Amino acid sequence: MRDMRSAIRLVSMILVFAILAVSVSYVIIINTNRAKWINLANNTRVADAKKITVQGKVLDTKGVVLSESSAPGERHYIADDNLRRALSHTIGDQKNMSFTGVENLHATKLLDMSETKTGYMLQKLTGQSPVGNDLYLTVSAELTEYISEIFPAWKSGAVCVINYETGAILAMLSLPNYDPADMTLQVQDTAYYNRVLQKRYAPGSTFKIITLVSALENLGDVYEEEFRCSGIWNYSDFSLRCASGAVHGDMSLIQAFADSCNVTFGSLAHRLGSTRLKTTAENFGFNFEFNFEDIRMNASHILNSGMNAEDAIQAGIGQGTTEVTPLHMAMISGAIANEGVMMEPKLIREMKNASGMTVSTMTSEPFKVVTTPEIAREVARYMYETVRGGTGRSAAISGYTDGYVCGKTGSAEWTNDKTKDTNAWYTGFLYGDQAHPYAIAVVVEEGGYGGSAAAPLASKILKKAIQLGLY
Amino acid sequence: MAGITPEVYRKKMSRAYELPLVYMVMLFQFVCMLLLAFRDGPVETFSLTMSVCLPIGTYLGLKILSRLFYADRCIYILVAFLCSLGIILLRAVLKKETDASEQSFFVGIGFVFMLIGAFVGSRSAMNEKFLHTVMPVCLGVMCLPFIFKTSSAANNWVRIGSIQFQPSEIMKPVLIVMLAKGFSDKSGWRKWAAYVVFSVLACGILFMQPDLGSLFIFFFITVGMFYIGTGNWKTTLFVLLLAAGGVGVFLSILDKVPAFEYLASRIAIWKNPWSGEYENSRQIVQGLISIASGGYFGAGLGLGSADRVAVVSSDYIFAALAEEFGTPFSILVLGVYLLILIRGTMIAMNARSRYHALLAFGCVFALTIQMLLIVCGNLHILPLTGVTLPFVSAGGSSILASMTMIGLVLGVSGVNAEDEYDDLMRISNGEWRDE
Repeated sequence: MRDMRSAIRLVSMILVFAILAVSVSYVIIINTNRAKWINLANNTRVADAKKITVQGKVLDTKGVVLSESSAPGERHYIADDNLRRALSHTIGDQKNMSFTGVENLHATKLLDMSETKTGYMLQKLTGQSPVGNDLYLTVSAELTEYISEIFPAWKSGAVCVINYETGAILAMLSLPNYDPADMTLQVQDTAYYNRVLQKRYAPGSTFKIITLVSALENLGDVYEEEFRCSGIWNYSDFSLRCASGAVHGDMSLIQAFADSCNVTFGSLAHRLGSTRLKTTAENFGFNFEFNFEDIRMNASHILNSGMNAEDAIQAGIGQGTTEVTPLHMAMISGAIANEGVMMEPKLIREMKNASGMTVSTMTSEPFKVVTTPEIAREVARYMYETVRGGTGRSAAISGYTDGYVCGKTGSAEWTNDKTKDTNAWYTGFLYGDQAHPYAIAVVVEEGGYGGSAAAPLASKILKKAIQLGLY
Repeated sequence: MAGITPEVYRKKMSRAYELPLVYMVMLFQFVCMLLLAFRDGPVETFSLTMSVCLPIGTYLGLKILSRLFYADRCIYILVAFLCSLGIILLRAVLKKETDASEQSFFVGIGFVFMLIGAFVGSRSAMNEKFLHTVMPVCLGVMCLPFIFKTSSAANNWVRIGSIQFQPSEIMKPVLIVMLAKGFSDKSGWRKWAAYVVFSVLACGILFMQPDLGSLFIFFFITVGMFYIGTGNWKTTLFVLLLAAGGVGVFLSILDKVPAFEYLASRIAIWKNPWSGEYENSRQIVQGLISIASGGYFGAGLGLGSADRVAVVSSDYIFAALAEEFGTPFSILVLGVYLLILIRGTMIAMNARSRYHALLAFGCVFALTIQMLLIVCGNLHILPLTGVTLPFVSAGGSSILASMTMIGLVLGVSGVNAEDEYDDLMRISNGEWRDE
């Protein structure tokens, strides 16, 4: 009997610990995922709450009311057509067409579906409709509208400007857009899609920032080496060319970066190999399911399907299966500017309840340390050179002396059809300017070259942001 | 100590600490049902009736049970709490009254099964020859779902006329009784072989259906009882490793074999329910939303919206519990299972015969494993298997099986009490000798 009792004791203990473990993980699961899950578009409880609750206002960083309600079940949007359309993806809508907008993702906050049932009880007792919370966003309506005005007409694309020190999103624009006030209008095919957060683009040469970081981290004195570009590099059965048939000749690494030499960076990626390149990219947040509090962003991918030498070379110049969302690209630039610390993106500056009391305010949280401060400074120097005398010259801001404009262009192939124009990319930041710590990412779909289509936009946008004095 | 008679002993036990517990459970049943009766709209007669019937039923059950057996009242009260929680949840979540009233009916029948279980548990082990002849009959019953197919994707139901039942549920207590007899005998593989073969065949049938949830429970019952009964940890460890390897191999070939399409889709849904590319991922997504919606204080009884989860009444009753009552309460309910486990373990440890110890522990072991399996499924820790939350989930077969199993434990506790009484008598007569 004694042997049996000790066996029973053992098995019973295992089960006791299993129950305790399940209880603990239950609490952890609920704490980490609660906000995300109840904000899912298919939570029908939100629709029920909308019928009885007056939703709170959505306001921009300067206090401009973007949308408001006066009774349950209705919603009024800002009257200015251009402004409303430019901010459509940021605000969201009442039909759950864009499920990343504030009115969709943060519906539970606007409806104040918090723990306490005071609103419900109030409604039962007095018959008055409960009123939700007001959300003050970090975005500037004026800047967003300005971007939509200067964006090439009839082009699709995405722009986002962030504060790289706090992580605050200052503007995000996705084109084509729609009108949240009139959802019956016919819209273009992917208009409900917030390209800034949801569309994964091939990053093209903008990815060389990460290839460069990986090379500086892993390849020792690579910055002292001389590189030679004959315009084409044949690796086994495929060949790598520099854009528009350029032949860069002999040059240093900084020149190769500034001139965006595919041959040099392809060979660097080859030397690094896919494992080291993938590790660096994953430090920057690739292949990671983002689980941010304020926004829902799709994961960026690299080297997921193949890991051979050709895949590494393709990844090194941001082609192949590499893909990234525009906001993530702005965060990558921002991390370089912020001494290697990537901040968690934030969209809600403040939440106030119906009686005007502040419920919560934005807190800046580092998301990842992507590289050392020394390497970040070195890469910033390379990106400054790109704008000073490389492919990003048109990103320079005339008359701006408070800091340095740094950036990287990209012209990403997105289809095998050679008659289509490449997607034009620009990403960069203002360096050493305490008052204006902006990072930016611009994508103009089928815009051609990043240097001519995307970089001038970035210059204008950042100039406007400085004028507005956003932080 | 001549004053000790069975009557005195019984009275001493009935005045124990369980009485406040049963009053609290009765109060809980009364308040919950009253709340449900007077929620929006006209007064619900069913809930109003139940607000009286549930507490009275619980109390009467306690009296009847203690008249018939010297059984452990604590376990009975905890089980009564869980059963009434099930009825309350079904009434609160579902619009139809029928689920809750059917459940109440089955809980009533379940009480009778509990008494039968207690009777079986309090007897000594059954004749080996008899068990050996019953084995093929049991396997035959388990094969019934292949003949009387229902529409569900997993063929684990039998439908004859209007009666539906799950043979795998009914077989659980039978399996435990058999294995308790088989593995309590230390004489070696010659004795064990028949029972092991029986278990393997039963698991094979479940795999064919495929009813993976029951398969896991049957497997764990067999391995767990084998280890406890025989103390043969080498074989146990080997089988566990083999099973882990088998699961690994199975997962790797899952996508390639067309016959396992149903299972492959379940696993795929579990890996990524958020993509929305699977029609059936709705259930788990809505379940998680439901659990999360409860938060700390819960939506309030009858104010949740858990009815949007598919099969909330059986597979996802835990989600309904979490939404209506909140996280801390749900964890306390897990604590009730923990108490039943600990109490059952104590009964098993106090048992005087190997058979009774193994029988009692086998039952609480199976119930705990089943509870963990479905709770982990609901919380998205493990893939969802269609097993029920014992005592709480809707389902006649499941309630009857769980009640029978807990009845077996109660029966063993009754034997223990009688043994302890005999000890007391022997001490008082000066006949005590150490074992």
